[in-house]
Parts: sequence; C-alpha cells; structure tokens
Amino acid sequence: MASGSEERIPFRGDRSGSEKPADPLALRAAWEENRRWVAAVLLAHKPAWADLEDLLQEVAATLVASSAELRDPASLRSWLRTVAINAARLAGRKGRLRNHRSLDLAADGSQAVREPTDTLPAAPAALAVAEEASRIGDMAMALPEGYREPLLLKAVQGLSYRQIGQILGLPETTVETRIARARRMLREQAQAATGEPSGRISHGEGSNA
Amino acid sequence: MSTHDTQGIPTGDERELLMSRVIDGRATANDWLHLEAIGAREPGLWRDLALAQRDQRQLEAFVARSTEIADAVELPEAPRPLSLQDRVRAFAVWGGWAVAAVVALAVLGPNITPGGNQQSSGNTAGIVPVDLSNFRGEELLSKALERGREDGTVPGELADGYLIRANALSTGQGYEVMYVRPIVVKRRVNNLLHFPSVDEAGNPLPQPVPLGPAFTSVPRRAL
Repeated sequence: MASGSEERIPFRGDRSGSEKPADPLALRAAWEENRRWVAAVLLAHKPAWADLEDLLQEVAATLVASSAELRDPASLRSWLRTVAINAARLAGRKGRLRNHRSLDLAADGSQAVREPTDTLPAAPAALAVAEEASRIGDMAMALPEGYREPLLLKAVQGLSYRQIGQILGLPETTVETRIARARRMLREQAQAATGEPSGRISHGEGSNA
Repeated sequence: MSTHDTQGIPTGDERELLMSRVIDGRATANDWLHLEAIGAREPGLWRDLALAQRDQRQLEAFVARSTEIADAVELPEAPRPLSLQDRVRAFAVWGGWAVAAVVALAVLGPNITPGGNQQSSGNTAGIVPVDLSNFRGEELLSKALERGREDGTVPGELADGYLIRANALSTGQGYEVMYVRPIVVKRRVNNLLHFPSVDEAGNPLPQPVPLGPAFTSVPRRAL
C-alpha cells in the first residue's frame, strides 16, 4: 500500500480534454496501490456470502472500462469506493449464492467454515492468534456501517486519516472521531463476550460526529 | 467532539480520542499529559488502553488476512479497438455465409440454366447435376437472390455497401472497386449467440443475443 500517491497518477495521455485511453502502466500502478483498501471497503459492505475476489474483479473491470473518463486523479479514491460499494450492494440484490471462501465470515456471527491456507498444520499458538483475530473481525463486521468502514480502513496498513477522509469524503476530524468510537464499541463488545469488566468509570457520551 | 464536563473531567469521546491517538502513534505531548491526568483519577484507563491496542492489532491481522486476496487480482486487459484486419475478418465470416448460401441454392435449388429457365427434371431425388462452370459468380448470386426473394430467405438488401478498395483501371477509363454488398438473409437457427467479451485467457464468452430488432432502420432496397 502506498500513500500520498494521488498526485502521480496520470491516467490519461494528456490533460487536453481528449478522450484518450488511460496509460495502462499508470492505471495498473494505481490499482496496485489501492486494491487493498478497496478490498476492505468491499469487506465492510458486501453480503457475508459474496465472494470478495469476484467483487474485486468487478471493480477492476469497471476501472479499466471507465479509465478514459477519469479526468481527476485526486478523485480516484472516492470513485473507487463508490464503485466498490455499488458492486457489493449489487451482489446483495442479486442474491447470488457463491462458494464461501475460507476468509469470508458470516455476518450473523456464526462460524464460517475455514479452509486451511496450506497443508501444514498450524502451530497451536498461531492458530489461537488467528482465531482471536477472526473473533475481533466478526465483532467489527457487526458494527454499524458508519463506524465499521472507517475502522476497517484504519486497519489497512499504510492508510492515513487524511487518505481515509478522501476515500469516505469526510473531514479528517470526523474520521478520527468515528474510529475512536468504533474502537470503544469493539472493546466493550469484546469485554462483554469474555465477561471482562470494563476498566472505565462512566462518563458522559459525546455527540454524534 | 465534546471536550470536558462541568467538573473538568474529559467526556467519554475525548477519553477515547486520546486513547485512539496513542494506538495510532500520533498522540502529542499534550495528549499524553491529558491522558496521564485521566489515568491518575481513573486507573482503569490503562487497562482499557491495553485492551484497545490488542484489539487493534488483532483487527489489523484480520483485515490483512481477509484482504490478501486483493494482491492476486490484476486489472483485466482493456478491450482492444477493432483493427481494419479484424473488420475484414468479420466481413469474411459473413461473406462465407453468403457464398455458402449461393452455392447451396445453386446446387439444391430448382434447376437453373443460364437463361433462367427451369429444366424439367425426371430425377427422383430432385437433384439434377448443374454445370456451375457455365455460370459467372455474379449470375449465380443474382439467381440466388432471386430465389431467396421468392422463398423469403432473402428479404432485402441494404442500399449502401461498404467500400474496401477502389483503383483506377489501367485503361484510364473507369475503376475497379471492391466492396461489401450487404444482403439481408433470414434463417432459422437453434441457438443465437454472440461473443461480446473474453475471459481472462482471451477466450470468447458466448452470450445470448437480445431478441427483437437489432437496427432502427429497415433495408432500403427490396429485391
């Protein structure tokens, strides 16, 4: 994941306004820089059963098909997010039942069948870490959408608050507030699930961002 | 974001915001001072901070694992505009249909003579040998079109052809032109597919052709 790269994505051959096709190399570089967080957006919006790889391919195909129309590289992130959300929602509307992949998690909290990533048995400690990560992931997926998406985006390595704000079309301060609240919700859910007491003395709640 | 309550105690949002900044490694010195002040009154803060940091690391692991498939998803090839060669090849495909229809009509149709008279046939199989060498291609085509008009398999012909090449004749008078002559034919088929796209390997993907009129205009020249 690269950061701050929007200034160097000349999709079009020039900026004269002609409908020249995008520079394939620049387009590919842009896709490689952004596809991880696009996957995170899809993860936040797709139905649990929808195949993430299929949806990513749909977004990639849309990017190629529409590349000549992308005049403003700075708007690429918000454009990609819109395409990703549309793809995820369309999948939901179509109600297509796809094969579950090992990493797809059921949104209702039930345990999805997870296939091993390789044929070697995982070490117990590594397995426990992976299971705990999946448990937190399940909880994050159950958060309200307005908190779930920024929280997942912040968990993508390399994304800054400014970049998340560009993707979501929100001020950086709003992104920061939502992520802070999402973390509190996640922590409280995790504590409730394990019966751990909260270390916090009750304070008043802030207003919605 | 609210800041403090009436007793100077940070509200829930500010407490969480300060913790969030620590988790992301962007807490300022002032943020730390603030946080220590809260921690002095509320020791549970440090436990919450530790748990929140643990949750964040686990969430990062979850997201990394869930989205790693993205690294294997490459951009598809952009659709290549049709070259002249592609267009000529496409014409050749349909030209093949036209030639095949002409030959079939010439061989299997009614007995045709150069003069256009039908021979009386005593052949029980209904097939009479026809010496095609006596026919020029244009005559055969003309006969095929005439026959097609009669049986409804050639409802018309577009008035405008597609010029491929034009050369002046060596005699200095006139031109030799090569053009596509669009003949409208009607056939009954079992399947109707077209190939508007290709898969990852470049193989054509068949899709049903939408039913109904494909053009808004009708043939302008009936036979």
